[in-house]
Amino acid sequence: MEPDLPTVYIVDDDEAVREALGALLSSVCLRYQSFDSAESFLAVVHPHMRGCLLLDVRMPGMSGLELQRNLQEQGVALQIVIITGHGDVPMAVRALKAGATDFIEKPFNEQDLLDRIQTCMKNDHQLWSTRQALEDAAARFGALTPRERAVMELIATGNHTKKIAAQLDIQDRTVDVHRFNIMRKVGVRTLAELLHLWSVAHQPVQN
Amino acid sequence: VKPPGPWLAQAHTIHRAVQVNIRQVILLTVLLGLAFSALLAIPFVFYQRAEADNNLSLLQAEQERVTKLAAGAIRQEMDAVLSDLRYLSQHNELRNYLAHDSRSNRLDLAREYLALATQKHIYDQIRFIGRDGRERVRVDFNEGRPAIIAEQDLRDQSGRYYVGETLRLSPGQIYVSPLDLHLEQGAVEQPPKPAIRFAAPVADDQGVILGMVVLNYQGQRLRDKLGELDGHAGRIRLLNAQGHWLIGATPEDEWVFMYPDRPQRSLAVLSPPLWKQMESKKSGIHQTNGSWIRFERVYPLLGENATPAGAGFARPIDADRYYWTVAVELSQSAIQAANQALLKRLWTVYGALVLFAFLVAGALAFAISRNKALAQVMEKVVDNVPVLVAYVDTEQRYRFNNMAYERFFGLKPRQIYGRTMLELLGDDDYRKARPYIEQALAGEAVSFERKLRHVGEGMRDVTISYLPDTLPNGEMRGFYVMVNDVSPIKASQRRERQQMLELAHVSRLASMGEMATEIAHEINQPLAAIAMYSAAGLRTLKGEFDRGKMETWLDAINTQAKRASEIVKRVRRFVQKGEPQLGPVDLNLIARETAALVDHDARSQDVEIVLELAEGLPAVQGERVLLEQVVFNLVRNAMDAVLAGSGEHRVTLRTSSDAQLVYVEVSDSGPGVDPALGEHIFDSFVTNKQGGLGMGLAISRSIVEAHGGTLRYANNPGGGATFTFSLAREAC
Repeated sequence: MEPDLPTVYIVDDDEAVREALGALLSSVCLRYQSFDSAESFLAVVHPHMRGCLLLDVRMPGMSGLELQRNLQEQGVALQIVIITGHGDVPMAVRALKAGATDFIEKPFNEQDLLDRIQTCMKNDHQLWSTRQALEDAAARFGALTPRERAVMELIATGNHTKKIAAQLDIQDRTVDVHRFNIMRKVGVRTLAELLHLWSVAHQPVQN
Repeated sequence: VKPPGPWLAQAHTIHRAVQVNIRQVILLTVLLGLAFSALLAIPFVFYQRAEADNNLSLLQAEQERVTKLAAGAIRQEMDAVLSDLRYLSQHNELRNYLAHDSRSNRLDLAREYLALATQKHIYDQIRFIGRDGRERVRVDFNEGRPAIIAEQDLRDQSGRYYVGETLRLSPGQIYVSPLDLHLEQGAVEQPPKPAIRFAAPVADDQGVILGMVVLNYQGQRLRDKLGELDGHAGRIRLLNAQGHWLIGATPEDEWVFMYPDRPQRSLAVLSPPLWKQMESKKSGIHQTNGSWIRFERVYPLLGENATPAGAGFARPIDADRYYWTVAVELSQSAIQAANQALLKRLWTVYGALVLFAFLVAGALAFAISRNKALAQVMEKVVDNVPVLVAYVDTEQRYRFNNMAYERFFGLKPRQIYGRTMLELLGDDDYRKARPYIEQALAGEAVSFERKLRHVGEGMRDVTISYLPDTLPNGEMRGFYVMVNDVSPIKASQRRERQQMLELAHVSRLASMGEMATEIAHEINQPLAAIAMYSAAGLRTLKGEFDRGKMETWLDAINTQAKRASEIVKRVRRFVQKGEPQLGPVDLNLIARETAALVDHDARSQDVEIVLELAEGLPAVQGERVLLEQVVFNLVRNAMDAVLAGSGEHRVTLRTSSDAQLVYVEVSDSGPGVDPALGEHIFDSFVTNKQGGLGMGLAISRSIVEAHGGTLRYANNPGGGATFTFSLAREAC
C-alpha cells in the first residue's frame, strides 16, 4: 500500500481565504488542495492521504470538529491545524483534545502558519517512516514458519537455547538452526538487531 | 344615581351644568307680568273708551228715537181725536137732532156717543153742549163703563172757559184746551185726571152756531202711552209751553200750574239754562251733570190730517202756537250702568289675558334666566379653555372671540371684535391662511397646522380649525375659528422622537456590540487573505516569479481590502448617529444591506437568509438608518428564533406592496411567539433571550410608528412567526 504524496489540504468556506492560503503555500512550494466545505473534503478522503489538514473550525454545514471526528473514524492519519477566529479558544481546546495537532488564531502571522505546517509535515513524515518500518518488520516476521515463529517468541522473552529446546522438546542444535533461519529471513545479523525489530513490529500502532 | 335634571332640557346637553336661579325667575316673572299687564291694559282702556263713546251714542240714538216716537205718538193720538171730533160735528144723528130736537133723536145721538166711548176708551166725556152752555147730550166714560147721563144730571157749563172760547169760533174751527187737570165742582178732581177738551162748534146751514161737540180726552192715556216708551235711554218728560211739567220726575213736579199753592217747580225755575235753550230752539240736546237731555218741541195739532186743505175740514185754531216739549233725559246713572256692564265684561277678558300674560312672563323669565345661566356657563367654559375660539362672518370680520384669543395677541377686550382677519393676522399670515379661509367659507371644515406669533412667547405651534356655520337653507353665515396651541405637545413629540432616536442609536450600538465578535471574524477573513497574498508575494519576489500570478495576487489583495472597508463602512453606517435625514427609501436596498450585515453571523450559525424581494418596489418616505435597524432587529430575532427551534434554519425576508402600502415581512421557522405574550411582545424589557435587553421590538415599533406605519406579527400555520411592518408608499 503506497501513501499519497504529502499535501496540505485546505478546508475553508471563504473563497478568498482559501485562495490566499493556496497562494501562500505555493510560494513555499508546498503541494496543496482546496475544499470549500467539510462535505466536499469527505467525499475524496481516503486512508492513504498524508500531509496536513488546514481546517476552518466554523463553517456552514458540517463543522470542523465533526469532520475531525469523522476522519478519526475512517482511520485517516492527517496532521490537523485548526484555524479559529478570535475568541474561539474554547473550541480550539476541544479540537486539540480530540486529537488536533495545533491551532492558529485568525488573524495569523503567515510565518507562524507556515512553521506549523512545516512541523506538521515533519510529524507526518516521521509517522509515515515509522509506519513504513513497522510494516516492513511485520512483513519480514510474516515469512516465518509456525515452528520458527514459536522459537522467535521464546527468544523474544529472553530464553536461552537450552531452555527453548527443553520447552519445545527439541534438540539444542535444532533451536540454533531455527534461529539461524529466522535471522536470515528477517535480514538481521545480530541477536540485538532481531530483538529490536521484533519490538518495533509488535509496538501498538499509534495515530 | 341620576341627578335631577334641569327642566325642559335634554339630559346629555350642557344644560345639565346650568343652575337656574328660581328667585330671579320669580322676580322676573312678576316684573314681566306687570309690564305685560300694563301693556295689555292700554288697548283695553282705548277699547273701553271707544265702547263707552259708542254706548253713549247708542243711547243717544235710542234717546232720539224715543223722542221721535213720543212726538209721533202724541201727534197720532191728537190726530185721532181731531178726526173723531170732525166726524162727531158732522154726522147725521147730530144733524137729525139739531134739525129736530126730539127725545128719540137725542137718544140716537147719545147712543152714538156711547158707542164711540165704548169703542175708543180715550174719552172721559163726549158731550153736545148747546149755545146756551147747557149740556144736551153727555156720555161719561165712567171708569170703563160708559154710560149716557140722564137728562136731569146734565149741567150748565156756560161758565166754563172752553165753552166761551168755542162759541167765539166760526164753523170749521176747533178749539183745543191746554192739557190740564179735570176740575170737579171748581176743584181738581182727585185722583188727578189730566184732560184735554176738544170742542168744535156746530152750525146750521146758515152758519149760525147751534152748539158744540166737546170731547174730553183722557190725558192719562197720553201719559201712559208715552210712559210705555220709557226705557234704558231715559224717561219721557213732557212740558207745556210754559215750562210746567206735564210728565215730570215726581208727581210733585207735575201740574203745579193747577195748584197755585204749591211751589212752582217749573223748568224755568229748576234749570234756567235748559229752559232758555228750549225756548230758543225747537229741538236740541242739553248736557248737565253728566246727563244728556234731548228735547223736541211737538205741535200736536199740526198732524198729518191737518195738511190737506178742503172745504169743511175743520182745523184747530192756533195750532202753530199749541205745543208741548218732549224731553228724554239720559241720566248719568244710566250711562254709568251701561259702562259698568261693559267694564264687567272687559275685566273678565282682561283678567284672563293677565293670567295668560303671567304664564307667558313665567315661561319667558325661565327662558331668560336659563339662557343667561347658560351663557354664563358657556362664557366661563369658552374663556377658560386653553383654546383660542372666535367666530368670523362672511366678510371675515371677527364677531366673537374668547379671552384666550385676546391674550394670545396681547389685545384688550373687544379690541378684536369687528376687525378683519387681514388686520389681525397681518399680510403674511393672512396670505398663508387664505386658502383655508376660502375653503371654510365654501362650507368645508378645515384643519391645519401653523406657527403663530404669540405676543409674549414668540412663535408657537398651533393647530387651527375652521368650522363653517351654515344655515339649514345653505346660506353661509361665517365660521368658527379654533386655535389650539400645540407647542408643548410638539415639543414633547420632538423630545420623544429625540429620545427614540437616541435609544435607537444606543440599541444599534448594543447590537453591534453583540455582533462585535462576528464582525471581527468577518473582517478577519479579508485581512487574513490580504496578509497571506502579500506574504506569498513577498516570498515569491525573492526568487523567480511569474508576473501573471503576481498580478492576480495583487488584484486579490485589492479586492479583499475593499471588502474589509465595505464591512467597516456598513457597520459605521449602521451605528452612525448624525441628524436623521428624511428621504425616499428603497426597502429592497435595506433588506439587502441588512442581509449583508448579518450574513457572516448567519453563515457561521448555519442560518439561511432567503431574500424574496418584489421587483419595482415603490419607495417609502423615511429614515434609512432607522428602517434598516427595524429590519435588522427583526432578522436577528428571527435568527435567534430558528436557532432556538428544531426546524430548518431559514429566515425569509420578503418585500411587497399594494396600492397604498409597502410591506416588509420577516418569517422564521422557529417555535413561534408564545400566544400568552400577545402584544406585550412589543413592550420594553420583554425578552426570551438570555442577555437580551428586550428593547429590539419596542424600538422597532416606535420607529415604524414614527414613520406612520404599523408593525405586527402572526404565528405561521406551519410553525414559526412572521413579523410584518407596513409603511405608506411615497406619493409619486
